[in-house]
Amino acid sequence: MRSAPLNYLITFVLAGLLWVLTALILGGYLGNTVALTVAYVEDFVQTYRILVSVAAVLGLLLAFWWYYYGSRPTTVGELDRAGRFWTTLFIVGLALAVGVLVALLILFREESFTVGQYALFFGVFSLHTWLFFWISTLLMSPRTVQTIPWGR
Amino acid sequence: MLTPSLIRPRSILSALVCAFVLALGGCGGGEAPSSWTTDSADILVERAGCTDSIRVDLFLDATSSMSGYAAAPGSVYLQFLDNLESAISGAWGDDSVRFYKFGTTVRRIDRDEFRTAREAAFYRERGIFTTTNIDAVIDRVGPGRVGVIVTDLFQDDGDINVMVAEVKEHVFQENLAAGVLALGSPFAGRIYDAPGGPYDYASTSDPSSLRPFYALMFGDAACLRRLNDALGSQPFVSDEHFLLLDRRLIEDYTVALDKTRDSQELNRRASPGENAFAFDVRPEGEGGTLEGVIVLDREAVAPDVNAARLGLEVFRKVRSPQTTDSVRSDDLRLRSAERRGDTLAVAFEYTLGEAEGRYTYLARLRAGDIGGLVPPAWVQDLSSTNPTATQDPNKTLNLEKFVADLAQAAASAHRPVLAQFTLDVTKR
Repeated sequence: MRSAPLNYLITFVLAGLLWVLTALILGGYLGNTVALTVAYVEDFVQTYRILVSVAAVLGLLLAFWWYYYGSRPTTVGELDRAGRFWTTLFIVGLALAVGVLVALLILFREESFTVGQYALFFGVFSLHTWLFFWISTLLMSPRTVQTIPWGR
Repeated sequence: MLTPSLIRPRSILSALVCAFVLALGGCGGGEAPSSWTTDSADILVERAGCTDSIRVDLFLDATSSMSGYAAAPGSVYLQFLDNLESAISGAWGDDSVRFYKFGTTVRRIDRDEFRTAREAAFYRERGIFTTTNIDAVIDRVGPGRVGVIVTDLFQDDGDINVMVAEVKEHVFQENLAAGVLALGSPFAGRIYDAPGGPYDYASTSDPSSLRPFYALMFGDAACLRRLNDALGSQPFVSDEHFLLLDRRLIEDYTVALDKTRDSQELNRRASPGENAFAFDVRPEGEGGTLEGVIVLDREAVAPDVNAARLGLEVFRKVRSPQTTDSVRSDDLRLRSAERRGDTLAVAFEYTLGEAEGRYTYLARLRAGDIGGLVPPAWVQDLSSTNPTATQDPNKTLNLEKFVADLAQAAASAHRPVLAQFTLDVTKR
């Protein structure tokens, strides 16, 4: 599970499953329940799905970048540097979640979502970015860097 | 059939990309279009529809008052009679005109006798010249032909009521239309039947002194439009003095509809088509307020519409969970209508007291049956409640009441639809 290409494949499948759950199923649910002041339901659902997809693709790329970085022969002798790199990628993931949320808020600035819905949007974007990066690198990092992700 | 060699990774990738794009754009959206078979053409003015063959019954008022038009130099009345037949022949390839003179009774005359309408003797026939019984003429109007009555009207109140009732029965309830064309003509003669007694009147060179006479037309609306167009080539015929009372008033219209910002129980969906709208009622919600702007392109010769008397007719079908036939509904109600020129700003209240499901509505905005149609200003200008030698001598007795009553009869017989739209609602 920690060696290529299996970790890449499993991570891709995991991202796909998360995308189905959050973009399709949760997106459909939000389209039926969220109160929209001016936006069309279709526009909201489509934009939400596009943002979730962007978050999912970027989260996936972060994880793949870490797998690639961790499997390089030169990384073995630079574990401190690898640790800093993992932290950087994690923070980038966190920033992506915030950025995508901000994009959603700007695109739907005339809407007034509930606090719970704001939290849900951030949770979904987090699930695809920093949380996804953390969980997948925790479980599937190459052996040379498997101890670096937080929680090991 | 696909063999394993044909199932390539690129095909799988393409399929995945397609599925992704479809999911982004379409999943959970795409509602089937409304199942209403009506469209905007059903309520718009029909230009076509009059065949190239026409039968016209031309009724000429032969009472004494009319002789004043024939006697005046430069009579527009005589020019109109001279041109009427040729206008009909020019507008229709196959025409047949029958002539009648009427007053107390109605009598068919031949073309030669019709041509004697320029002579005073035409208006002195015993048994005809004393009273103007237009209602006796309207008895003869019916489908399949156009009736044209050339008269100066001059009915008393009782005559108006009888005449309007006749028009309603023989014209509007037969899905025919009525036209009123007013023409000003020089006049020199005696005016009878006025409430204050007969008086002499002679117009001068001042156009405002001309005395109006009328061509009342009854028949298929498309044929009346064609006849009016044919007559319109005459310099003394003005489109501004023609009123057509038909069940259709509108040449085109557009409807824009949206929910108000406060209506949080409603979410709007993309429009399924022209003059079609879709909304979701949120779970636990019941409805909200919809605001609309309706732009009407009213036919120039149609009566005006009184926005304060507008009515909304709504039909509803349930599309799911079980399909039902359309029934009248008051889920959508007209709350207010404000007129700004040809634009109506309307507000509707939508309430759905039903369970989850998909509903579709057909809403029709109709002119009110009482006071819904307003005669044009020229009618008031030509009308008087008491014409005498010194006051309104060249105006027509109770024209305004006559035309207003006609308009009301038309509206009550078939309340004209001004605009229609469909509304698809999904309750989640």
